Amino acid sequence: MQHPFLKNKNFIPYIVAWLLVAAIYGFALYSFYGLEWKTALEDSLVFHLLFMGLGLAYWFNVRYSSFDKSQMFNQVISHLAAATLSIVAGVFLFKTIMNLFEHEDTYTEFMVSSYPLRAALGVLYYAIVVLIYYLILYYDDLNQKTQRQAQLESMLKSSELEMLKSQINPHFIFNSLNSISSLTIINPEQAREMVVKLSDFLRYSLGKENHQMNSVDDEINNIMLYLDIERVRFGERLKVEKEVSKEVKDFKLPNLILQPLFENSIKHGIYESLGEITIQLKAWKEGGLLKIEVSNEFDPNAVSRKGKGIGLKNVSERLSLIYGVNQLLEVKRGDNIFTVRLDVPQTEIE
Amino acid sequence: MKAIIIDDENLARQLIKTYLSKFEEIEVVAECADGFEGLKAIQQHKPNLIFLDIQMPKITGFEMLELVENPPVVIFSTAFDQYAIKAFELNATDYLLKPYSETRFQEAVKKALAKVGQKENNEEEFENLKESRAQSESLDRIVVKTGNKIQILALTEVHHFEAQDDYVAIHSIEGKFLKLIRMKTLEQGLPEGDFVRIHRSHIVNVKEIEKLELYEKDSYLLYLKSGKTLPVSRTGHSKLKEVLNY
Repeated sequence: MQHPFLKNKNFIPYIVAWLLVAAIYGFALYSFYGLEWKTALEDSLVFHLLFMGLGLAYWFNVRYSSFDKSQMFNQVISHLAAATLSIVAGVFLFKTIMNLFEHEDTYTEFMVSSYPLRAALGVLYYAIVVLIYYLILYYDDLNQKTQRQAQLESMLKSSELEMLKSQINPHFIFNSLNSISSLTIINPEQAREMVVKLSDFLRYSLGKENHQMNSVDDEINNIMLYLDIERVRFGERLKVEKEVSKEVKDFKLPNLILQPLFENSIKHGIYESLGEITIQLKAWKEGGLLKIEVSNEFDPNAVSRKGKGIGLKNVSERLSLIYGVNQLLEVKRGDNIFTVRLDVPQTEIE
Repeated sequence: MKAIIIDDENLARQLIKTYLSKFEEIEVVAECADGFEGLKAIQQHKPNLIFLDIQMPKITGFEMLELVENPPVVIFSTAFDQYAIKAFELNATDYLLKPYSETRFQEAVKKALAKVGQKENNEEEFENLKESRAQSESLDRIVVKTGNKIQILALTEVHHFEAQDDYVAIHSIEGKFLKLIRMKTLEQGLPEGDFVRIHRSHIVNVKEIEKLELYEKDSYLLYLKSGKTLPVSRTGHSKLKEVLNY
C-alpha cells in the first residue's frame, strides 16, 4: 500500500491540519507565555513543520508491522523506539534551527525550560499520527473485505443460476442418438434431418450464457426443435398445440427457462401414460407482463416416480433470483391437465 | 428360438429387429411398447429371450420383470440410468447402452444364446440383480400383479409387509397383494427411516404405527393404525428405537 498522505492530493489536508495545529500553538505561546508574535510564529512553525516531516516517516513503522497477536510485544518495542528516536531528533533539530535565528534572552531561557513540554507534545503527536495511520489501514482493510464479499456474493448468485439452469437431460440425448442410429437403416433422409435438428437444439442450448435474455421467438423455436425430436421418438403419441400472440414475439425471457417445463410435460405426460398426450403452449401479454402457459394431459391414476417438482422449483427460484420477485410461477393441477404459468416481467435486466 | 422386443420407442424396436434378422435361429414373436403388453406377450409366447428397455411408460422394465415367473434370458437396454448400470455391473446380466454398435449387439446376443437352456442359473442371476438394484436405488413404489391385472402401489399406501414362504404379502390401503421377492431384498430397497424390519417376517411402515406395548420380558407387540398387531423381535426393537428416536 502506498503512503496514504503522499498519494493523490492527500498531502493537502495533511499539511493544512499541521498548519492549523501550529497556528493554535503559536497563538498560545503569544498569549500565555508572553512571547512576541513573530518569535511565537517562528517557534511554532519550526517545531510543527519538523514533526510534520517526522509524521510522514511514522507510516513505515505502522505499515510494516502486522495486527498479529504474537507480534504485539515487538510492535510495542518498535513504537517506543520510534517515538523516543523521533522526539530526541525532533527536539534536537528544533534547538539547532532555532539557534540559527537571533532571539532575545528571555526566549532562550523559555526554550530550555520548554524541552520537557515539547517532548510530551512529541509523544502526543506521535500517538495521534500513528493512530490515524492505523485507522486508515483498518478502513482500507474493511473496504477490501466488503468488496471481496460483494464479489463472492455475485459469484455465488451466478453459480446458483448455473445450477438452476436447465441441464439437458442425458436420457434425451442418448435416446435421440439411438433413434438416429435406427433411422440410418430405415430412413436415411429422416436421419439426416434429425441430426440437423438435434445439432441446432444443442448449439442453442449449450452455447448460452447465464444471464442472457432471449426473445420469445428464439426460445419457442428452440422448444419446437426439442418437441420435433421427441416426436420422432414417440411418434403419434405426442401432440403439440401452439398459440403465441404476435405482440410478444420480441419480449424477453431468461434463456432456456421453458426447457424444464417441457421436459416435465414429457416426463409426466408421455412417460407415465400409454395413450396420446397433447402438450399446449400459450404466450400472451397481460398488464406489462409476458405470460407463458405450458400444459399437458396426464394420467390421473399414474403413481409417479421420484424427482417430482424439482424442475419446477428450480425454474421458480431462477426467476426470483433474476427478477427479485417471488411467485412468478404458478402451478394448476386439474383432473387430467397439468398447467404451469410463468409471469415474466419486461424490464431491462442486465 | 423365440424372442420378444419390449421398448416404448418404435425406432428402437426397429433397430433391434433389423440387427436380429442376421440371426436365422431367432424369431421375433412379439413387439411391445410397454410393460403391460410385454407381460401379456411373455405369458402368451413363453419366449427364450427378451430385449427389454428400462425406462418405459407406467412401469419400468425392471418392474415388469419382477412380475414374470421363470423369467427368460434378458438383454436390457437403457440410454442413461446410473442405478441400472450399477446393478448390471455387479451382475453377469448383459445390457446395451443406447446407442450401441451392431458388433456390441451381436456379442450380447451370442452371450444370451449360450445362456438359454441353463434355467437355474438364470433365476439365481435375476435374484442377484434384484438385490444389487435394491442396494443402489431406493424404491418409491411397488408393482404387483393380481390375476391379469397389474397394480402400482405407492409406498406411502403400504401398511406393512409380511413374509409368506417365497412370497411377501403386502398389506396396503388397496388390500393385500402377494409378490415374489425375498424379505432381505425388499428391506434393502425400502427407504431408510420410513420402514423398519421389526421381525424376521415383518417390515412395518413407520407412519402406520399406533403404539408399542411390552408383552413379556424382552418381547414387544406393535399395534398398527390399521388394527393389526405384530410381534417385535429383540433386534427389531432396537431398530425401532433407533428410527423413532426414543
